[in-house]
Amino acid sequence: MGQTKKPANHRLTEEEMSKSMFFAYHQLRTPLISMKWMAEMLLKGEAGKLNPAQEDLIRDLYTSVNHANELVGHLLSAARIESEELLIRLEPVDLEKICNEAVKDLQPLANKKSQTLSFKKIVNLPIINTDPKYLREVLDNLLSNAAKYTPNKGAVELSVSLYKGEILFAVKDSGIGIPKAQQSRVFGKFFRGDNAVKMSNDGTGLGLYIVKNLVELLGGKIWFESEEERGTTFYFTLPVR
Amino acid sequence: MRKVSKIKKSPKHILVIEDNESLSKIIRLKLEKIGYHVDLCESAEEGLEILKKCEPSLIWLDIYLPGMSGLQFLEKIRKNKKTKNIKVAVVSVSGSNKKIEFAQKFSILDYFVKSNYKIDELIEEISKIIEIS
Repeated sequence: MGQTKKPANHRLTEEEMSKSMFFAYHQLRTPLISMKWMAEMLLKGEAGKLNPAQEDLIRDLYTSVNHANELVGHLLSAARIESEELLIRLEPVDLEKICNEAVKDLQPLANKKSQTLSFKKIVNLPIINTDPKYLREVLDNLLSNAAKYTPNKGAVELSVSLYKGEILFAVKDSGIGIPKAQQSRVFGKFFRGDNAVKMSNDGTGLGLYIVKNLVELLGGKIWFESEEERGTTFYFTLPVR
Repeated sequence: MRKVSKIKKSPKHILVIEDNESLSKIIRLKLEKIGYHVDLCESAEEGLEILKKCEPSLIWLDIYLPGMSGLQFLEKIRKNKKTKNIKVAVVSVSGSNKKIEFAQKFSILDYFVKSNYKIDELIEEISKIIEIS
């Protein structure tokens, strides 16, 4: 009693749709985590020693699963933004530490592409109150994009300074750049530059959409400068609080 | 209902509430390998039944469960005299701040997002929090 039965052709409201999407993405994530952990165990020889061909296949599986996990992560973040599920949890954050960690985690990809990866702090960085999880998500997205769309032997640099009383982050690369005609769409959902699509099939086109929303949620601004075949620099600010 | 551990209280006894069978299998293998006694269950309701018979040193709690959710389970055990002090670590696919904030209201030891960890790193973190708490 009390429950109204919905007709079979009932159209989902936006809220119902958003909840269903969340649930579906989470459901997708669980088997991916299971595959990732199993691949780790196999690579460690926990189910017996692998021959080189088996090890090679499991490494490829591990890479693919991590990639799929990253894509689902993007879909989840975008769905959260749209359903306004985002909640900031401010806490004192050591900016130097978080930047060092983000750069360190990108190092394997940079090494694979023989890229120079560096972190430059222009001033002594203060501890600020912000959400470390979202800041890290912003840094990871910008840095991995920079490395992904920069050819082998190129350079990626993260620098942090103080500008007009705010923290200014800059992620600079010597990559393929963003075509001028498409620059106004960079932060749009599912945007991928024509040259980026030619270079790699990786990516959902959600990274910069998520980054812009998170930076604004944290009280900052984001913009960029880019020249095709010369490189791109993304700048974003965070308030000192 | 699965067979419940005969161990009443042991410093190395973990109750894992996780509905995904593959994940449970991995978690059990890993924890038993480093000497923990593990009870597995697939739902919060089953977990509540197990807690009537034993007191684990830690509950490894998933959030998305069939029936009662992990967060409802947490709220429920904190209201019960017998179970209110049992240590709980939430291990979920969801990294939503709302869920983290809600869980932290119920004195959890920590909240882990599964996708952020390699399995060995996660097991190490769990062992660490049991030891230091």
